[in-house]
Amino acid sequence: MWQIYGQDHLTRQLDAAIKVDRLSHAYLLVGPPHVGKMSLAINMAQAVNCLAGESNAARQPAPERSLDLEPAAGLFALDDATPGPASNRLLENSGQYASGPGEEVPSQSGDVPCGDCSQCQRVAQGLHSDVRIIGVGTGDDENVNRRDIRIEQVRDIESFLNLTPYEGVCKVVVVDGAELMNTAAANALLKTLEEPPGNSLLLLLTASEDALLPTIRSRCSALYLKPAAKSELQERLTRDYNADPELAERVARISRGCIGQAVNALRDPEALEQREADLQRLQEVCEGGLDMRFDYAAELATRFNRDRDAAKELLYLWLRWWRDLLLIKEGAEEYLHNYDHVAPLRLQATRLTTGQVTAFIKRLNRTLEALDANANPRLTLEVLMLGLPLA
Amino acid sequence: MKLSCLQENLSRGLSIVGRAVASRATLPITQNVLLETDRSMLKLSATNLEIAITTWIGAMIEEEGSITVPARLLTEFVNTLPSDRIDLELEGSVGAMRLVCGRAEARIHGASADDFPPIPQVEEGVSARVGSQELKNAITRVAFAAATEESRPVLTGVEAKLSGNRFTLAAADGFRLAVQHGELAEPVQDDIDVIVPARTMSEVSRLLGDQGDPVDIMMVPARGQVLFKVAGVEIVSQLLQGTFPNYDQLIPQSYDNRSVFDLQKLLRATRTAAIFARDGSNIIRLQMTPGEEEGISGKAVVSARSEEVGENQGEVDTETIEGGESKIAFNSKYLQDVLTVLERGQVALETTTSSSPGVFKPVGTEDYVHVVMPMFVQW
Repeated sequence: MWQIYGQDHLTRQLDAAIKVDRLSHAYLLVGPPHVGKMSLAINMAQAVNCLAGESNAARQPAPERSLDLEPAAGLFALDDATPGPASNRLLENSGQYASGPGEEVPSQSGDVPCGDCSQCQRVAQGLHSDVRIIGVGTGDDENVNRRDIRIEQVRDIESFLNLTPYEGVCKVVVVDGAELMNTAAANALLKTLEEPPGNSLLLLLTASEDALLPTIRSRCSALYLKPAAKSELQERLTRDYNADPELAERVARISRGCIGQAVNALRDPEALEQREADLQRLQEVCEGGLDMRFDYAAELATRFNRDRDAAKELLYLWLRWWRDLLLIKEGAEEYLHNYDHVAPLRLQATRLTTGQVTAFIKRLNRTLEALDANANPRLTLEVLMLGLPLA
Repeated sequence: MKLSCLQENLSRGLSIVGRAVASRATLPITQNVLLETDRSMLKLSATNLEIAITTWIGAMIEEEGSITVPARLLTEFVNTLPSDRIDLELEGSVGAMRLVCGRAEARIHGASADDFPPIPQVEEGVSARVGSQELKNAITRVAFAAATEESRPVLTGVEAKLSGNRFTLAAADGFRLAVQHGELAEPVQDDIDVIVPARTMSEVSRLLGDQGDPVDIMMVPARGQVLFKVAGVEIVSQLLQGTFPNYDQLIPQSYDNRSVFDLQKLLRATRTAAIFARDGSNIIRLQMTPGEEEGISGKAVVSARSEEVGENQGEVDTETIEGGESKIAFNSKYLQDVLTVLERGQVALETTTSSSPGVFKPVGTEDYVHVVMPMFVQW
C-alpha cells in the first residue's frame, strides 16, 4: 500500500505501470517543498523491490480485487473476459473510494509496496543497500557549506548503478533537489539517465522543474505532486496525528496542502509562534512609515546574509499575505491561507485597490528573483519597501 | 552470544574479511564486521556492497548470537592483544560486546546484526572448480589490463567465460586487451559469461596466495552474483551490468613480422628505455631487423627519447624472426606491464604496420594473448 497521501492520480498511474512491468527508468518528481516527494520516492523504491510484487503474481490481480469490490465486479461482469478495460474501471472505482472521507487509502489498488516485507522495511529504515539517496552535502565532503550537488556524487552513483543489485532486485537512486546539481554534475548524469544499466530506477526530486537543464527534463517522465485539498489534509491531521481539530484546520491552511509542512508545524509549536510574530511585524510595517520600513529592510537583509532560506521564507510569508488580500478583494475568502488573521486582512483590503495589490505581488516576485540572482539584498529589499503602498 | 576463541585465529579472520570493509560511509554499517555463531564456529563477515567476504574460525560457543561492531576498532584492538584466549560476550540487549583477553578488557559498541546488509547466499546455480594457482596466474595476467576510470563501466571488469572444461578471462581498457584461457578442474554444466569487477578478481587472487586447494566457483547469473570458495573463505561479488565488447575480432589473425625474444632481455632493455621515456611522452620505440643472412639472428633496437633529458637506445637479439623489417612504438607502461606479468621464457611480438596493434604471446602456449595499440610517432 502506498504510504503517500493525496496523490492518487500518481499512485494509480504507477500501479498500472508496475502491473505491466513498464515503469520508466527515470522519473522527475515535481512538487512544492514538503508535499511528499521523498515519501513517494521511498515508496517507489519499496515498490520495485517489494517481495509481495514478485511472488504475488502482480500481473493477475483481478480475482483478488473482485472479492474486495464485489458489487462493482458484478456490474462489470461483461468485461471480465477482457482484463484490460475491466481493471481500468476497477482502478477508477478505487479512486472514488480514495477520495471518500474516512476511507483508508484502498489497498486493493496496489499490491506493492506491501510495507511489511523485509525489503520494504529495510528501505523505510534507510538500511537497504540498493537504495541510495544523494543531495547537497551527502557523501564524503569536507566543505559543509555546499550549495550544489557535485560531479563526484554523480560519478559515485554511476558506479553504484553499474553493479548488479546486492539484496534487492532493482537499484534505486534518489537525487534530492535535482535542480541543485551543478552544470557539470547534471551533464555527467545525462548518459546514465539516457541509458541506465538494467535493473535501475532514477528518481529526481525537484521543487522547481524550470531550474533543471532541458536535457535532464527530456530524459525523465515527470510526476507532478499536487498539494492536498485543505479538508483532506485537515482530516488526515486529526486522524493520523491526533491533532486538535481547530489546530488542524489552522495548520492545514498555512501549510498550503503540503503534508510535510503541516506535520512539522504540528510537532514544533515554536514555529507557529514565530509565524505569529512575523505576521505581527508584517502588519506593523504595512501600517508604519518609511523609517520603519527601511529598518525592516535592513533587518531582513541581515537575516538574508546569515540564512538565505529563512529570509526567503519570510518573503514567501509576505507573498501569501498579499495573496490573501487579493482573494478578499475578489471575494474568495474561503481559500485564505492566513484565515486566523481574517479581520486585519479585511481591514487592510478595504484600504487598497486591486491594482495596488497585484502590483505589490509582482514586486515581491521580482524581489525574490533578484535575490536569487545575487542582487545586493539591502538595496533590493529597500526598493521593495519603497513600493509598499502607504497606509 | 558468549564464546571464546584464540587471539591469532580472530586476528587472522579479521584481516581476511577486513579487505571487504567499506572505506567510505555511504551506508555507515558497512564499516562494521558481522560476528555470528555458526554451529561450533564463529563466522566473520564484511561487505562493501560490492564484495562480501566471509570466513569461519574455531571457537568454543557457550551461547548463540550475533552482533556487528566497527571493523577497524575491533581489528586494531585484537591485533594488540597477546596471543592468548579471548572471551567474547554480548552485553545488554543490543549494542555492546565485551572482550576479555588475559588482563586486557574492552567494551565495544555495535549495532544489531539485523541492520547489517544480508551477506548474499549463493547456493544453487552453475558451479565449477578450478585449480587455485591456475586461477591466480590467470588473474595476474589479465586483471591489470582492466580500465580504472569509469567512463566505460564494463571495462572496469574482467570477463569470465566458462564453457565445458575451459575458462577464459579477458580484460581491456580501450588501448590494450589481455585474454587468458585455462582449464577447469571440473567442467561446468552450463556455459556462463559474466563480468566480475577487476577489484574482486584482485582480492580473490590475493586470498589464493600459495593455496593448493582448488577453488569452487558458483554463479547465479539471474541474481547477479558470483561466489568464490577456497579453504574456509567465501567471497561473493556483485557483477557488472552490461555486455563485454566482442574482443575476438580485435585480435589480429595475421602478421608481417614475428619476433621472438628472451623475455628477460627484452624486459631489461624496456626498463632502461622507460627511464628516458618517462620524461617525454612515455613512448618506447621498437625496431626489428632480420639478420642479414641465414643463420645470423636478427635484432631489435629499443629506444626512447625526450626533448629535455636526452635519449637512449639498446639492442636486443631476437631468438627467431619472421618477415621483414618492422617498427612500432608503445606506451612504456603498457609494454612493461605485459612483459612483467609473463615472468619468464620467451615472448613473441607480432606486428603488421606501425599503426596497427601489436600482439604479445608467450612462446610455447596458445593460452595467452595480449594486444596493445601502438603510439603514433614520427620515425
